[in-house]
Amino acid sequence: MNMATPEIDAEPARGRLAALLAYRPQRSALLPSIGIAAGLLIAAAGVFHRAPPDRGTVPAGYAALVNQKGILTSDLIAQSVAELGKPFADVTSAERARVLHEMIDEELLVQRALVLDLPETTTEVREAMTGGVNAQVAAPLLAEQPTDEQLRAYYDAHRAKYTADGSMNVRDLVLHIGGYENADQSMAQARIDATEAVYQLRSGAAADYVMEHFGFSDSGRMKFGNEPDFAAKLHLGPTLYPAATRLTEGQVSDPVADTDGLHVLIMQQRRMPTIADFAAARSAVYADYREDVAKAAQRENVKILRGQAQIILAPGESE
Amino acid sequence: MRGVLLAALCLFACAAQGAPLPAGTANVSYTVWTVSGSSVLLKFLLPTSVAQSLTGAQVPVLTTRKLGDYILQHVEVEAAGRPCPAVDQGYDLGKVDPLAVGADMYGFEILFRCAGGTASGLVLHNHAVFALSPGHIDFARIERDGRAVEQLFTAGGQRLAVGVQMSPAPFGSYVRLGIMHLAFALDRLCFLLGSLLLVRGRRQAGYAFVALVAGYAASLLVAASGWVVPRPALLEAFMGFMVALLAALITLRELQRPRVALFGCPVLLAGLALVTALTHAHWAALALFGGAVFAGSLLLEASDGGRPSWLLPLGVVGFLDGFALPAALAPLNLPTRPQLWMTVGFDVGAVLLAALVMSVPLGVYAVMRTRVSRLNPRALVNELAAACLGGLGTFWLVSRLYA
Repeated sequence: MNMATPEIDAEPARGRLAALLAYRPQRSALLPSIGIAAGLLIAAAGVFHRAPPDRGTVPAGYAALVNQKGILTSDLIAQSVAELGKPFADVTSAERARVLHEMIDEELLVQRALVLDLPETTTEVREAMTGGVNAQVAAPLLAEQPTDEQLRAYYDAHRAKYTADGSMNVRDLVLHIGGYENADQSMAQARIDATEAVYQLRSGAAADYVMEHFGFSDSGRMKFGNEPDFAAKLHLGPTLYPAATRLTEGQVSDPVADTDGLHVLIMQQRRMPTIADFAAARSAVYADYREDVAKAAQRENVKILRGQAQIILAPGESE
Repeated sequence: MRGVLLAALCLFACAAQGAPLPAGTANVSYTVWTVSGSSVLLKFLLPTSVAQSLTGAQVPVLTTRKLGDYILQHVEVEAAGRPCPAVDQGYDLGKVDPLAVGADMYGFEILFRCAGGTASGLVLHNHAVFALSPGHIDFARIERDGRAVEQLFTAGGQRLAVGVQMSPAPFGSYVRLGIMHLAFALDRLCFLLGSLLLVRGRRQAGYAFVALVAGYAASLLVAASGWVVPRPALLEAFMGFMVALLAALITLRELQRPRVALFGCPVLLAGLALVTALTHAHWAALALFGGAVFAGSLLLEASDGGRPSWLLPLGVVGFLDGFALPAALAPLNLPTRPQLWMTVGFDVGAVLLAALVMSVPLGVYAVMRTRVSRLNPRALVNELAAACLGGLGTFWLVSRLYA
């Protein structure tokens, strides 16, 4: 008896479940209808979206719409004032119309440039765009005027930038080694001759006499006479210029070996570089300070952009 | 017997999956021909999906330059019997100027110069894509002297003569477009055929057709107002959902335990909505959630056999399909009036084919029932058809949702 009871009970239970699942109540259509409408509305909100407004009239604050893109009245006022050079109140309606005409032309050309993808294809446009972004990033910092303390601190940190360039008039004599006139001369022999020539020059011998006696010739590197230091550096080259900067007026250098032979430098005239004091260099310091501030802002901006960007380099490429 | 016929048609429609790209709305391109003095400026817009279908024999590797070269080779302009050559546009652009027209579209501009002017004998040629896909449609807009007309390039009409008095494409061409659209739209066909399984008698068949037409008419009103525009991918996914919902409606009638269908369909959709919401596709999740509420309420209402709630899905499908052409025409930014004209023609074509699709099986069934009156394996066939529709509808819903 005890074993049979669950089986007997199971049958009605299954029957009740089946009856429950098959139950079709007599009910009002109101609730399902509301559900249908709500469901359709919710689904429609996902499937459809509002069409972008196609404006037929110009909204307040705008002077014109060009392909649905607005030209602000404030821009028109600013452009009129800048272009005509007088207060907007004095601008005539004909002048205002002409400025607006130009602005509409410009807007059309800008829109056309974007369609033609000029930022991607034209170098000048890319340069203008990067310049524009850099200027925009730097503008807030440049709007703050630096104090004298800031400028002085900058000057102290970059003192080397504010030196006035020196100049020199140096005679460069060269003793060619192994030339056709002295084909058998060795480097050691040439150095002995050059040392002797230097000795004689320092003792007061004339340069022309020494040249003729030891076989020196003018190298031609300093043919323009008195030259600023940067020009002398360029002409003398990296081996001779450092030796020249160590000489004062009237001094003769030791023999210096270069690719074309042994050189002897005679400093005829020398003006040493001078460091400008803060007061004299203030305007240059101000300009450099602002330039550095702008560059720092631009570097920071690029750093942020790089942080937000996904940059993938091809295998083998580096930056 | 009717069930057998419909199930066979459903299966036939499913087997036709390998058909070429559907005509009408998915496989389209856009051209704008601006005739001015001695020059014709062509702006060619090609959806990325169509451009990708060219990859291979037509365009070896899909790059903007290769695609531009392909377009250049397949468009021509002639005036007074002489060809108008494309003009080199300077810089390093060559004869095809690529345009920035958005991520899902390629755009090109080509300038043709006609030495003898364009006043007489102007003929525009467009042969792009048609060789690969005969169902391709190019919606063309021709502008001249401040006037504009809409025309069509098709596989059968790749040449357009432009007179001084320009005329738009005839109404019939849009009717044909609507017919072609529905003829190759398997989801719509499956839905229409499947809906016949819910029809009981001639009068109900009439109601079903009226519901469909009402849906198209409603879409026409909404599209004409310009208030809303569809999200094309979600619209197509929702169409898949409607097919699956139809399967649930058919199943509901046959089940001994209707609550399985009553709750199963909405619960599955709600689950899918939740998963979709987690992928941050919020609009898709909203559409699915709305679909779940709609399906639950509709099935609840339909479980009480006597009410005509089963007609509602037909209206919804008509409404959704009515947006097919406006959505396809969106890149051309047409004025309301010509777009409405084109959409009316398109919808008329779709409705005509729908009438044929719905009436022929019913007619054949009516004829056969008089001869083989005892043959009626209805339950089995309904189950088979519902399974096919449910599987396909779910496939379309999910694949289009996450495409």
